[in-house]
Amino acid sequence: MGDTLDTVLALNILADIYFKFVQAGAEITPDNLKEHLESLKAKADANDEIIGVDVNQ
Amino acid sequence: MKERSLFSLVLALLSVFFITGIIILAFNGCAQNQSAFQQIKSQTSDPELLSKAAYADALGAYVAAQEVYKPYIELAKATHPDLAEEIRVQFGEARKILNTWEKLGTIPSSDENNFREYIRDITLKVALMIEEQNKKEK
Repeated sequence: MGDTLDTVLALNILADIYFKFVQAGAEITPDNLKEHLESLKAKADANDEIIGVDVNQ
Repeated sequence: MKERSLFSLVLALLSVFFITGIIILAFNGCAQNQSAFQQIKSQTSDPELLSKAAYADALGAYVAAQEVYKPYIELAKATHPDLAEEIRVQFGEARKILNTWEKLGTIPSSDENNFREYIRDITLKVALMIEEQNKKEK
């Protein structure tokens, strides 16, 4: 039973991080969609660098 | 032995429910904070904008998965180097799909499914790694 509880706890931690990330999102309109995309892309690029993601592999 | 199998089944089912819910949330948002696609759809029917909004949601799910993994990169590299490599490669595959999506404005549904699968798999691997780490710290 301990295994199950540990996994539920781990998944809860991940769900919590996701919820925080999704809820932090701003209101999207046709006028700021481009800006929203650029901001996400910049975050993805920076994180890719930290993780060591190489799309050419 | 039977009890252990039952726990494994419960564990697998719980994992599937959690991860599916998280991915649905990341793609579609919740009542208080809808996805970019849902928000744009309520304001315009311009197909180009709708396509960009769908891409924005996928990119958002990708960044969310990165944010989940980021605090555990060093731990993964130190304790599970093979897993860290698998996750890095899967992020790369997911990013390739996103780059195609951005370039073409759309992707086949098979690629969309593959993308979801990569995000789901990465998240699950990180969850299991945290679980293992928690056990070791006890």
